[in-house]
Amino acid sequence: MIIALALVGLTVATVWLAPRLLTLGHWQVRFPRLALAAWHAALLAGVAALVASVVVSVLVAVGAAGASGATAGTEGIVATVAGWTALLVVGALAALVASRHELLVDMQESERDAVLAAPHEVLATEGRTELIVSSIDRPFACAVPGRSRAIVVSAGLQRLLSPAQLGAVIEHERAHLVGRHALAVRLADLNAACLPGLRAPRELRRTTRLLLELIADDHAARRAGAAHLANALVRIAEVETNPAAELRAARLEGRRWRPARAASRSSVLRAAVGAR
Amino acid sequence: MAGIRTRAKGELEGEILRVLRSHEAPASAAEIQDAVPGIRPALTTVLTALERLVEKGEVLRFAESPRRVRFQAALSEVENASELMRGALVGVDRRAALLQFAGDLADDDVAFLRDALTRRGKR
Repeated sequence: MIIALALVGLTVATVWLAPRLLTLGHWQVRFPRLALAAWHAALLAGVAALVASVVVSVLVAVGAAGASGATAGTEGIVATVAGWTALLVVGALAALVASRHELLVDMQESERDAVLAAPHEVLATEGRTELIVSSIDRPFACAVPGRSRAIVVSAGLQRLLSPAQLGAVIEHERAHLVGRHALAVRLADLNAACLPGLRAPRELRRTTRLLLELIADDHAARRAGAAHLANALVRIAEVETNPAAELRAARLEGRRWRPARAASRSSVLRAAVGAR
Repeated sequence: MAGIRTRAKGELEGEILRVLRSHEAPASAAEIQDAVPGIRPALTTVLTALERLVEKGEVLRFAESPRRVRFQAALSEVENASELMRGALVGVDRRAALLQFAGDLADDDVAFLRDALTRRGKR
């Protein structure tokens, strides 16, 4: 019983403490990968503590029921009630998580349909990933995860950027797909959707997106050249008011980068837009 | 010719939406006028219908200059509307589910990034 309560306490502590500890200082901007791992480790720790508390209280209840002949006192009743309550809570939580997950999947699918609704052409294919140029005029690029993985860039973006800059953008989107970033987004979104109004889930959700962009920026900078990516961000910030893009460019410029490795320059997708 | 109905009420709006959805780029009212099937509607009629669609949020209006106004179907918004509403109810705000290259980051993120970068600059 005490163990179960302690585990519930641990869950609450994680929820309360994690965002406060993890937002100290600015190291996250420098080490986005490590930061993302820490955030999601905190999330998993919270969930694990919750699950463990339920398991323990159920086990206590089962133990009490098994020995009910001997100890039919109030302790047995309390343990049984607590066990059943825990199971009920788990059932309700599972239903909640399932319905929220379905909602998120729907949202993502309708968004993907909206992106692919405009006329588009497949420029190249690499493995399971397609490079799609959509006729949308607004400068735009995104990664579409799932079974039919795709990187979508708009005709507007193609006009705006040089081939090398566009190549860097494609490499950025590729990092999202290769790194399965959509999974982290889904996890953070699901957590936030199941716990509306709490600070920790909201922070996790927001920070996950920011860190994933920084991680993808770093990946693209290493493979396609930091200068190209920074210039692409600056160009986009020029035509669309986008302070975040400007800051991401400044972040790239403020660091030293080794020249992009020759071996990594062979991406079929980047070659398709003529980037070297 | 006033008084003779060539279309059912609301029919033109539907046809205009179909035209716009099959159109990749924003279209001008004159282009829509030519593309609408059946009897060619008057330009003012087309503009009135477009205005109503813009008010409903089903069409986006781009005014490059007063003499050059173009229209585009707000497809994704309409399609997303029900999900958005459901999303708003459970606290999932309108942050894209897909990762966009230069998608809007939250204001907090922008402030955080700016803060981090200026600090590093000073050091």
